[in-house]
Amino acid sequence: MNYESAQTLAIGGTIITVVVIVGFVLILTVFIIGIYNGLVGLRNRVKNAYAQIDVQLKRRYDLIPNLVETAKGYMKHESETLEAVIQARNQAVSAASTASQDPTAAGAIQELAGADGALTGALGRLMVVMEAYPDLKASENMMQVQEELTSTENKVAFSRQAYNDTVMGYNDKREMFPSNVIAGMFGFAFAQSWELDDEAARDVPKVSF
Amino acid sequence: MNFYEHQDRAERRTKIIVFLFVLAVLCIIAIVGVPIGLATEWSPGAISITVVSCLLIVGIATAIKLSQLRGGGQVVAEMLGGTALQREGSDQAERRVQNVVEEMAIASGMPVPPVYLIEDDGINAFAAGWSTNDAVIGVTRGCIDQLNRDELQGVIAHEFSHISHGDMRINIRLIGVIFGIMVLGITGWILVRYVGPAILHSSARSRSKEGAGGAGIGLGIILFGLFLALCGGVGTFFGRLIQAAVSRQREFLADASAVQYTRNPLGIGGALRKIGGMTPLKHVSSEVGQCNHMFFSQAMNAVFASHPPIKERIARVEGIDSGDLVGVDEAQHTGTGPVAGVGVAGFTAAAVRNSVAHNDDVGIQHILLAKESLRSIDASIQVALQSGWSARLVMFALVATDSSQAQQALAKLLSVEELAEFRGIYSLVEKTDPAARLPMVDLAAPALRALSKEQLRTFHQTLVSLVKSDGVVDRFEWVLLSVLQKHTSTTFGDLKIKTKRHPLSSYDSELGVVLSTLAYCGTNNLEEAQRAFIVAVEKLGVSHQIVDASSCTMNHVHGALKKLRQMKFTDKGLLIEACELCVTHDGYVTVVEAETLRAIGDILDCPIPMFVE
Repeated sequence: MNYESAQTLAIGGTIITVVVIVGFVLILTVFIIGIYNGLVGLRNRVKNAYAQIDVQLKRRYDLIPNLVETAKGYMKHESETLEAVIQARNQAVSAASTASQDPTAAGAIQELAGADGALTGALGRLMVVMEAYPDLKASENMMQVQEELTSTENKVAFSRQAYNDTVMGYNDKREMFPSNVIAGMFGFAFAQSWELDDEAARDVPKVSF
Repeated sequence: MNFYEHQDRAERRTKIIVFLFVLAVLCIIAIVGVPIGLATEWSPGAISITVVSCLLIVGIATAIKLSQLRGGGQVVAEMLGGTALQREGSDQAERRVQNVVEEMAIASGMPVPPVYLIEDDGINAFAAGWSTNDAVIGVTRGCIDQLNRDELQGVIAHEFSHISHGDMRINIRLIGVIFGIMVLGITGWILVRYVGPAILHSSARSRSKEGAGGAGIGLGIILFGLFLALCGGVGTFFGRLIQAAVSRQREFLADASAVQYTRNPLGIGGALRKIGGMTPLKHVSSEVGQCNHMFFSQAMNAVFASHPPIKERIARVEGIDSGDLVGVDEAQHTGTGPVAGVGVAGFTAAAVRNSVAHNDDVGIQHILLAKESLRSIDASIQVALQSGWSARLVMFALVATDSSQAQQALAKLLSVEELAEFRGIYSLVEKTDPAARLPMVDLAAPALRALSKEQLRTFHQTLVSLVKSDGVVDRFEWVLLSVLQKHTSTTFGDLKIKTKRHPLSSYDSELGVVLSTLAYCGTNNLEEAQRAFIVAVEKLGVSHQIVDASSCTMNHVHGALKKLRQMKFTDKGLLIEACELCVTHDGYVTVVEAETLRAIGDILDCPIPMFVE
């Protein structure tokens, strides 16, 4: 083998290596971009699913002062129970506003779920107390507020279910290979689903006015 | 030109665009190939690998992007950072834009598209999707806050024109191809910036023989990366050029249609004037570059404008000379002259015929009628239609009217809370004018589309078991089921329909089934039905015997329509016209006939505007 042909061989080898590496990088890049965009899409879907709950929650929280005002007129000696409802409501409002900033942020949904559960509990106790005030229960205004509240709570439950489904889709993609590698690289955080804790879950049927 | 021709043209135009892009990509590859060929003394291996890898990258990237975009308008809107607007909890301005969109959609016989809001102070809007069924409308905060109702209506009408002229489909494909070319540039940049230097670095450390080879490889990769980056640049340049050329004309057409829909040049004109004094979009996500061509006014200061100059658009819309428009941003309404190139359609007595023949000419009458029919729906039903939970119940109520079996079945399928709400809704739905049934279904579309996959599946199951509870699928039930399936899920297969260029005659039996069904729809008399059928068949120019009523079950029609979806749009137009003749031949159109016609149009992606007397 003479010198020149050895050189040509070497150059040929280099070129093939270059081309192979380049081809590999090309395919990898496209692959990564595809997965990345898929993750972004799913995360946006989670945010949009949260927006659905948010709307209903706001409506619920707006109704509660109304309910308390109506109840106040009849319940002279139950200011403590009413106060508890208002406080729980205010806490839930602030938790909801934090969560609506970024529902995928760590702990945001958990906190909201807790605060909302507490509110449901407080409402449940109010309903028990209300049993002692038949006039209040029969008042036109009260019935209307309760009706709206029930309807809103049903809608919350339904959009919560949709939210949890969406979160599951996102988290699955986030944890499965190979998208988990990309998720780790670009910091796609785990999204929390909205689980009802046992106490809150038990309380819900009680609010069937 | 009507709706159908526009749609067909859009298909053809897309092919031309794709061809141009392929040409651009080939040019790029030639540009890369020549230096590499020179460097390697035209080694066939190196050149062919270069070519193949370039083609692969653009092809794969485009395919990936398009597969993501298969999710339709929603995906595009979310990519651009939009959030879906909802009725409840929205403020005055948000509600107004939703009202405007609803009116326009009902008027033109399309499912109501969800409205996405982008938090930006600039005035802008877009429409995205593959077909009328997955279309969404996007608006910026500035758009809904700064425009008055007339102007907003103008802008929304402009976007609806993009939907009905098939522009959206071209746009969404453009996004895919432009992405493919951009990836080429990005890959090049990664090679130059990271891969090359890394190899150089490692080879510098190992002082062996292979080290020297490694340095060669590293340098080679950097050079190759530079070429790719250059190609990406050149490609994007071509891409923008094509994007601009295609979309500029479409903007004029959409402006003209906006005037036609609203009969008010001051609306769209005023909006353009306000934009004239505005700056481009500021805080939008980085995806905007790929989607420039789909916005109402241009989203970025690109070298190649994808939209015509604002002044010229105002001048055309208001029918004045653009030279007179010195202080555009002063927002002074000056001209009300006639609008060039806009055919003003008069409406004759035959309402259905009119809607079908002048499909594209959605006018102010339609919008007024839509408003009226929206008013005839009880306010609390309208509220119920805006949330997924209660919108389902309204749909159940629609099926359950006149069917005690369905109501019994529901009692088993629904939860206690749902049943309580359902009773209230049912009593209202029962009282509603039958003509408002279909608009209710249209109105429910955005809320139902927001359901999760799981919820949607249960909803469909419940609905189907309701429909089947009395053993027969009646016409309205079929209409409701197929319209809903079309609007909310993918049971009809791909949102993208693959148009086949088969002649009309190859769909003979399917056409027979659809037209026979429609003929039986209006009458119980066989001879009467036969006459209606013959009128329709003559219009199509095919010879066919009326199909026996027993093979015109809803299953048969459904299957037939599924096939007919592949027809060319001009053929679809012909079929819709034949259907219209079939329905109107006795001079009397029942609600059931009208609804069936609308459902057929819906499945074929041919929205039929409201019937205006």
